[in-house]
Amino acid sequence: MEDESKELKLTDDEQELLTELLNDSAKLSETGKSRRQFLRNVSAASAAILATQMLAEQKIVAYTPIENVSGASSAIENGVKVVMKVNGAEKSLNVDSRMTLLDALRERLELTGSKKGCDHGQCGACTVIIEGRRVLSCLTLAATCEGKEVTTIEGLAKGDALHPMQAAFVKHDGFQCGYCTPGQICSAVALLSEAKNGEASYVTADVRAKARAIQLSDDEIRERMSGNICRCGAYPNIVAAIKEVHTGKDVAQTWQFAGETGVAIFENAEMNKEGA
Amino acid sequence: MNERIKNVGQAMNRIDGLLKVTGTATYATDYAIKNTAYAVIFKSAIAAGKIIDLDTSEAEKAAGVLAVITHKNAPKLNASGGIRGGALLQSPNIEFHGQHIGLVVAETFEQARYAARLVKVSYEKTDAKVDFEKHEKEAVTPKDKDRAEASRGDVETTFRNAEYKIEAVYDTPIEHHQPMEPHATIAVWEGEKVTLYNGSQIVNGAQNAAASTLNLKPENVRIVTPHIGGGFGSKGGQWANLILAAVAAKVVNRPVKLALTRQQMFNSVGLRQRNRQKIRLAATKDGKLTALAHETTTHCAINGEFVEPCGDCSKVMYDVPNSLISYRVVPMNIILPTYTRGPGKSTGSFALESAIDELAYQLKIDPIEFRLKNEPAKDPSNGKPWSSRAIVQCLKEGAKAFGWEKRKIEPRQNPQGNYLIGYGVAAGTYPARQRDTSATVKLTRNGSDVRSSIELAASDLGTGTHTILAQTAADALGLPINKIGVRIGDSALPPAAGSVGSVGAASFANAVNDACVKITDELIAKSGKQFFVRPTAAEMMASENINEFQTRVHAKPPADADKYSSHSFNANFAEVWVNDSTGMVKVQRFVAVTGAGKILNPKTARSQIIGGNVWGIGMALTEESILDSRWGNFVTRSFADYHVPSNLDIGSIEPIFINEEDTIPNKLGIKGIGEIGIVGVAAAVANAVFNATGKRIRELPITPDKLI
Repeated sequence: MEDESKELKLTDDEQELLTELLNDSAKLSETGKSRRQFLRNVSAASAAILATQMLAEQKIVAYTPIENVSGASSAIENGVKVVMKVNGAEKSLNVDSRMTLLDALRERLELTGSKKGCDHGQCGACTVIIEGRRVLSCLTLAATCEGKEVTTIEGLAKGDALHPMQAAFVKHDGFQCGYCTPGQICSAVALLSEAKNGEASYVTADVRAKARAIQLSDDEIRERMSGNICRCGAYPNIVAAIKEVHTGKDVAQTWQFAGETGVAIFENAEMNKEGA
Repeated sequence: MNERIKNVGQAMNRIDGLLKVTGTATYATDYAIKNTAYAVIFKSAIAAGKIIDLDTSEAEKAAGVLAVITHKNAPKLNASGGIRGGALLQSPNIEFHGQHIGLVVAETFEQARYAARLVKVSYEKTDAKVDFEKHEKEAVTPKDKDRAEASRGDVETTFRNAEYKIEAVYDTPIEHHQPMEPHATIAVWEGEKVTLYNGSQIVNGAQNAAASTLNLKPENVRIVTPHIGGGFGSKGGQWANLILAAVAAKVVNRPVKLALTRQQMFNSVGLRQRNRQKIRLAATKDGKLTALAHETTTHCAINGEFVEPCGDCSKVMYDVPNSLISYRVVPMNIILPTYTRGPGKSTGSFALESAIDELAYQLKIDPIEFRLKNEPAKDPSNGKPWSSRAIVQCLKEGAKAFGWEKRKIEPRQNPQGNYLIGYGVAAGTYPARQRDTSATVKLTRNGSDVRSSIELAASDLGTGTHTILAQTAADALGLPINKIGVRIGDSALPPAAGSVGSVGAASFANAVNDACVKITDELIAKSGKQFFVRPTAAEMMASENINEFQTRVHAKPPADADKYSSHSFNANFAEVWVNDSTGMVKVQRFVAVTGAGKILNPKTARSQIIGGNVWGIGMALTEESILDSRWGNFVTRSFADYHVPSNLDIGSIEPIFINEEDTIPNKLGIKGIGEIGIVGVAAAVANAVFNATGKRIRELPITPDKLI
């Protein structure tokens, strides 16, 4: 634990889990920047490895695949044929004209990462990325997505690496129950490009300024993420995670403990060292 | 294993984190089960009376509809089987607005939703009690013995004769839990057995309530809930939706998915009741409290009593010889209230800690000093010694970290541009308890690779249960943490306590630790050998050449725990900025110091405290539900009307933990942190608003209209 270089070795479990999670049959390479980046953010004594068993067990006890999920159900009324690209793969669906994109993803394509929090565009849990922009999939009829490119939380990781935003959310504990998390992360990923394009927000000081890449303040991040409700209240951690990815610089994590000699502040690495 | 890494106490990432950031963690409706039909509930449009006619013919004819279930054709259920809030379609009687009166089951969600609107209902209305102000005087003493009047000394005489005193009424509104995952269930029958995928803070509680209500044996009901999308009390007890999903699945003989809509969440799964708290507080000139009365009047449902314990903090916070805690409750036509984060303590501490601040100001004593003058040497409510009480340290360390010395005792002394800046402090407490829990630990060995699986029907609603149990087991077994698998959230596993009332961590982790100690003992005994240095379970598996081994424990709280009074304590410090023109309040900075025993994982614990603080800030500034007194419905029934805090509403939050070792409440010294984080928060904010503006707001939330 004390030496970061020791963490850079992928265990069989990690490899197994990542391969499974990322839905990628390619074996993880032994070296490579993306993997190192991931391991720096997700310490070896954490998530990955343990989750392997959980994931496997969940599937055994509870997961029965739907047959012909994307095929036409006999019950479809006012069927509309839609062809869209979801996470890079072309999907052809015959949908009820009333079906939202969110329900199409969840009930027809088995992509249950996007969540239904309010079904009214008020909570952000269903946020996906369409053509590079964040969109509330509960307010988007599936029938309107003809020819569109849709990215969901399941499509953010590339090959063997988590998207940096996903890794930063793990590192900064940017969630508790995890239900709003797919929407928060999709929103945050699209936010990065909005900043790059210099798009203004409610807290932007001068909205007339010519659009150019902007460095977001904490308040800019807070405002731009205010369409994504987190009832667990992970907001400060979400801001830290986004700031880290946006700036490309480590945002320190600290824990404060008060003993007989007053308050001691620990950084993550120190905490780990202490117990080693 | 000489370089054994200690995991407990380390700031570790959540072991379920990867699942959550990749969208692969499974919540109630995330299971793809073949041939699933969809159910949509429809609700009563009146608050009291009965259904006289219910025409479902058009709905039944609608495309894709498989069944319409109402009180006319619903199977007979055991309505007193432990489901909260009624609404089980057992009679035409209506007890509150939004009571479930039926459901449509169809091939698709769209078809069910459409057909539910085709049902025609006519009612016979009777007078509904929905206006608390109007019916407050009808309040009676609660039946619940835990809400019986508790008094000592002579409050009335002492208060009457006191020179320094406060008498004030503090009002808190109806609040809703609104976890991000609406309550939802997938029900799958196999013969007489039913599996219910359903978010459940108390896994075995949900199992027993469902079994009893459906007239089944508990072993024929399985609850599956590995991840819960928040609960905050609303998924502690279970509500009618769980049962109606099972009923629908039985009727159509197919798996059924039933999710409440966000609108339906406002009157389906309990709420935090409106409280009117009268506080009387008296003190001597030098700041010694002489009398404290905390009298709460509230409402419950027509069909059930629930009264949150607003007076609990007042029982244990201060040394005061004359004390009175009492409750009155009026049944109303409203969904049954229930436990909501920091039940009673969060709302009760708003009243108590505001009054303490008011009296300190009257005495011109610093509110921290005032609290320190009234520290009780033992629990004033029962005379028991404290197992530990970190409140003095919380206040002192918090004052240093926050910069309390800069605060002026007089309000309006800190303007900055158009803003008035104010500092406020408030303390809080929550009991620490362990509950009976069983756990199984399994060890498997493949050559030199030893792994363990920890199994119990515990739950994780974002609280970090998976992670802390892996940490606990790794240390107790002497295995690296990556060799531990944690299986929870399934009633087929050994029965466990719930993630409620801050008992989860203590109950689950002690059971897991006991199981790991026991399995090591058993392996040593099996070997028949003596050891100078106790070997680990993993070492014994290897040296004895054992490939599979398991054991199970039933862990109970320590026998002596009851002889002490065990609580978490905190001190909250708020810096608010009040816009002098608009009355908008922002909590710019918040410091929460918590003494909550052993902190198992500082990373997840910090998040828990921040989450509680965010809830408290919502309580203080934005959250309020409004009933239309004509109809009994909530006017506030979406996130556009009921304002939970959003990202921009929250400023800097800085949690600090006290290093506290207290193994009296349980062997591992865990006190629990889920509830304490919200206690005292609203009062700290209200006290800061007074310091900023000179306005004492005794009615939450502190919206701009109250400040301009």
